[in-house]
Amino acid sequence: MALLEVKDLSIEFGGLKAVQDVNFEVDNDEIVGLIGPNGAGKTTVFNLLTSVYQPTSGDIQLRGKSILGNPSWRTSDIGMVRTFQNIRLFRSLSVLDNVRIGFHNQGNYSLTAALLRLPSYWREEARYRERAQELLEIFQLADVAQVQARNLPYGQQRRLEICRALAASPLLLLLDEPAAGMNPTETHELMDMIRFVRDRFELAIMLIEHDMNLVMGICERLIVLDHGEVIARGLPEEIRANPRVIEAYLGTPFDDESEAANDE
Amino acid sequence: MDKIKLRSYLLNALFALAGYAILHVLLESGVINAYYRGVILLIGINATVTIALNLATGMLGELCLGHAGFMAVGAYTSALFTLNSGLSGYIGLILGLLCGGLLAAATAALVGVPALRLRGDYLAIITLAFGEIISVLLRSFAFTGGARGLNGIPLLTNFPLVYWILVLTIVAVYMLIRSRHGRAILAIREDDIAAEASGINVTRFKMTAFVISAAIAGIGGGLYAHYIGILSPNKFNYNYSIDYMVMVVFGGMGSITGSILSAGTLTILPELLRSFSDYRMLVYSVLLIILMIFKPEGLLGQKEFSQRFAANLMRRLTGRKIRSAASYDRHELSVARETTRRARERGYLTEQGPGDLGVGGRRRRPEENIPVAGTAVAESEGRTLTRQGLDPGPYEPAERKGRR
Ligand SMILES: Nc1ncnc2c1ncn2[C@@H]1O[C@H](COP(=O)(O)OP(=O)(O)OP(=O)(O)O)[C@@H](O)[C@H]1O
Ligand SMILES: [Mg+2]
Repeated sequence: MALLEVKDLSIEFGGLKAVQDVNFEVDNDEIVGLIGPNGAGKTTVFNLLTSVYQPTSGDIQLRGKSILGNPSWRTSDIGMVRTFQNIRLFRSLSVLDNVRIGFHNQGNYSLTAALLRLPSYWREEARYRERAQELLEIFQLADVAQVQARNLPYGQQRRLEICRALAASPLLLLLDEPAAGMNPTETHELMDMIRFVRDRFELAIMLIEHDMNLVMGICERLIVLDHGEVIARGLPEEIRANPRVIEAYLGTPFDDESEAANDE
Repeated sequence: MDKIKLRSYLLNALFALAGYAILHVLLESGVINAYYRGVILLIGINATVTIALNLATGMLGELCLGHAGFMAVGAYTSALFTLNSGLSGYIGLILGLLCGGLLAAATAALVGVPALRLRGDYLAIITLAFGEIISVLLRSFAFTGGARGLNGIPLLTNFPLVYWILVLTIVAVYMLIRSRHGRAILAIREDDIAAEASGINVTRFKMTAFVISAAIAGIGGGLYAHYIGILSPNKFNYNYSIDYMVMVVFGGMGSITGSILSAGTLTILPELLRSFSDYRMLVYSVLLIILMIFKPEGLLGQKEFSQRFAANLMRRLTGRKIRSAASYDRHELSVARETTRRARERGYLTEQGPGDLGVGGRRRRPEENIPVAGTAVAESEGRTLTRQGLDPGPYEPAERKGRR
């Protein structure tokens, strides 16, 4: 059984069909790319997967169980964690605390245990600290552990966001434009890191990205969205040569009109 | 269990005991006269309520403009309890305070359910209205004494009670905020969308913080009732809520020790300014404005006056290294300092002084994600509409225009 199954997924915002009858699957340990021009509906797909929006129709199943109707905060419990297109860190908290918050979904000790500092508090906090340290070392953030997240340079902020997501032990990691704003060297490092993360944490990764070098370099399979619909899917080489994809990206004279119609 | 942390807890407990002993001796021996004894009690009560409000506003990041209302609930409940229960003395008072705190918490839950499920400043508006409603209700009920209020409340509030309730409040809020529950609360202030994505049930933790905050304010109100002896519905008005908000901001959002310091300063200041008579409030306001201009983040900003802070300060002043229980993470600290130095050299680090990285901060405003397609969205239905009507949600607008 596939890890994630998306069936005939659609959502409308007023008259705008942001996602239409989208179908795809993600298997364990896979790196899948979700690409498409601006406004194609990629982030909206992530918002649907994480229950931020409920679809107008269709179904999303994780390990065979539908996630529809779940509150958004439960998404990480069932194994999906995302990062955001515009980095969202807990900016005035320390790097270490950002990661510790990532462990929230595995937390067990109660409020009473916290207030009275019962043994369960100490046990779990020690574990968080240890694992946070481990993660921070992997992502070369250990020596900035006590620095406020907002004081990190951009590249480290991106890494921290991924680090925090991994703290939640996801089965499927959703990365929304992880390379946005990075220079070529940083992008290259990121590619290595994504591969490493998949192997080390044994999870599936679905990523949205505009940087074609990155997409073609690490994705094993691609899904191309345009105007909310899947217009192509397959191996990176196939996608690169696909005329519909090229057309969607380069645009045709008609495209401008349909966009104008969408805006109304 | 963490031995070094325990040691630092013990040291703090010793500080608390020593503080109590010193003040107690000074009060008993008459060095502090009856007038200042009253001021000290008031400082203690104000500090308790300020810390409570700081939990809701500084740590959770929700603007609350009705804490006087929760104080009123606690004050009237406990006063009615001691007046009518027949239980005399401290047993009656302590039970009364508990009832007051519980009822304030229940009221907060009622107020919070509609307000805290939404994003944005709804809680500010609802708590504002709540404060007004409470004073109207208190005025109209017979059992609360109507407009005349309650008289003859036994003056049971004494120094030990105020002191230890303040200490308990500090401990409770500290233990809360340095736990996974507290971190969830801070995360909500920082970025509620990211908090939700990290598995935090935002509504639930907002409720937790808000209800605890109101409960403590209610207990503070009860202490106040038995300190002043008379309750009038006019006392617990909007201005009174704002006074506490000023104390929170003045001390530093999210800083517990800042709250204590500012409650102390802002309670004493008007007393010291008595010689200015008519101009008292004018001078008071000017001083506040000056502080806010020169230190907009409040007295302590987001720092805490902790053992580590004190040790660092001493080192700065004397040039000597002070050993303290807090040096448990000396290594951690030296690493942090080194990184900070390097970071500053490279020019991307702006703030970070000595001492604790406290838990203060500012709520992130969601302005950058306001949906553009407003008209289209307003017509849609179901969850989408609720999301859209009330909050922008994690919709991320296209950053690169015209790429298509
Ligand atoms: N909450 C919302 N309300 C109204 N319209 C929305 C909402 N969310 C998304 N849309 C619309 O849906 C379409 C798809 O948006 P989405 O953000 O998913 O695009 P994207 O593929 O992620 O684009 P980009 O590459 O620019 O990030 C856009 O036309 C957008 O305006
Ligand atoms: Mg997007």
